[in-house]
Amino acid sequence: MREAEREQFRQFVAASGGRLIRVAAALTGDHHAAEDLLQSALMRTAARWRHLEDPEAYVRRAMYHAQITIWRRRQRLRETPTAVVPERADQRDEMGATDRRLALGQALMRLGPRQRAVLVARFYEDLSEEGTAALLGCSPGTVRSQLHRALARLRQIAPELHDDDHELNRESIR
Amino acid sequence: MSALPDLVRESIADFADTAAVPDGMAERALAAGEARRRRRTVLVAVAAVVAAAAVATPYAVLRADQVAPPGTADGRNAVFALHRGGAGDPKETERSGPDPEWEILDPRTGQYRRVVAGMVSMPSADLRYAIVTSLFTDADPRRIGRYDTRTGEIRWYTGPAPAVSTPQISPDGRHAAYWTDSHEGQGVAVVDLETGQVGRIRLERWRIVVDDDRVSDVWFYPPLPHEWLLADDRVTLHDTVYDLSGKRIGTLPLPADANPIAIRPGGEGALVQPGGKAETYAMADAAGAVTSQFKIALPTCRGASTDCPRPRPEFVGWRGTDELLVWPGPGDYDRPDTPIEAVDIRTGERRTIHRIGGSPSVDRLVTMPADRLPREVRHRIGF
Repeated sequence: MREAEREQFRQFVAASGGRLIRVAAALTGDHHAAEDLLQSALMRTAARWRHLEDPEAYVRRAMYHAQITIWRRRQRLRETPTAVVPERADQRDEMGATDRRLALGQALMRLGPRQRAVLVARFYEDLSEEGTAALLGCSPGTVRSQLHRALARLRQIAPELHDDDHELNRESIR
Repeated sequence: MSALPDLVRESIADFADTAAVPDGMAERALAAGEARRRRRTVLVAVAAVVAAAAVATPYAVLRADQVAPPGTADGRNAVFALHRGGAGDPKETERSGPDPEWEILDPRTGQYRRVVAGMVSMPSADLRYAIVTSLFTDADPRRIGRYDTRTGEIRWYTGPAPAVSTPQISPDGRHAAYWTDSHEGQGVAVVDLETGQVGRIRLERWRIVVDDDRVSDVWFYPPLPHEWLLADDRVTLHDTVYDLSGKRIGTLPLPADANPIAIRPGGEGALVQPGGKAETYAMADAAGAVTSQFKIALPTCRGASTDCPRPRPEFVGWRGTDELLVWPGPGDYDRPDTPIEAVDIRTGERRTIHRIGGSPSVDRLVTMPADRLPREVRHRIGF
């Protein structure tokens, strides 16, 4: 790689790194794992730099695919059996809202990497079903079904998140 | 109250917004990327040679210093094949270039032949055959070949392409199976290695487009020599076992929320990775119940390695009934020898049992049980 290309790469990382590390964090749910994921994707990008028309799209796609690859799966919280069912938060309570948010964060970490990837693409990156399908290399129908399963799984893991089914279903099939 | 999708959006965004790019990431990526590109350039350069000469001249004689070193007497495992392309003495690497060839064992003699190939599978149960692939470059027809371990001969076949998993050989050496994402659709290709007849099972999977990464694997299921397991895709395939005609005949019992890593010899259970920390593994019995759980710590980067964005230890084989073999990954400039470690599946105790020397370091490794090797060979190369 010529020095001019190296400088281009540095500028690319400086300009896009913030956006990319946030996507990596969204995908992994862990700061260290996010750095690993982005570092690995940037390494591939550097190796192919002169052949890439849209480096940011390449890095983003590399991160999504790496994240759902078995040997690169990152830390997910393990479900801990408990003898006592925790009390559900009162939905009118501000503290209850905080509890729900914490519960959701924990529940998201227990999703499989593919389901989490679909949630990130659809809800964090606001991609369409078609865009998500193109990014992940699957059909829009698969994106739809995975999204539905992911949301259903979240409700199963954290019953306190149970909201209006009609609203949920409407969003998931939109 | 907000809808769940809105809560999900807020939760992910809240966490993502706390992430920041660490200092020096661009420089580290540049160094690692250039090392990677150098290795791959050499592989591409030899592709044309492989296409023309692979059938007629499948191997050359190994240099003595590149043979995997001998192990200990009556060892239980042996190195079946290895590929050198990792870090090594920079002066040596500059002089000889990264080695584009695999070294594959002749089980009768204990010698290793040099074979130009993209990937190499484990051998068939009788150690007679293995699958090799061509280098998968743009100019390459993406063939797979049945490699005869006794003669070094390769019989090449053209199957559906591209292959997106390493082709696996059936225990009887008759069939090869691999995932493919051809324009005709996704699925598993199965090649009859006697007749060249190609069959395919159409299945949807999560396609992978980044090189070197895998999403789905095809494993032959040990108790059923002519049937195979489709694994590592629990969302869409649920570890389903199919027969050669594509008929679904069952599923592999696995603990909930666990990813299969390898099936135990004989099929009685599997090594799995629970949905927990990356270092945690578990053994499941034939009914899918967890019988033991242990940790395999992540290796740490050493010295000046440019290829070390925290590699994961890789499962490479079983060792008797109570141990498995893991490989922490390629060596580095400071220590190019490649350790192979044994992990006790009851206690998680881990120890180095073998080292492969030479430079460049090993970056791909295939091991095998040593119990079917001739006594003299087992004595010489077993560990």
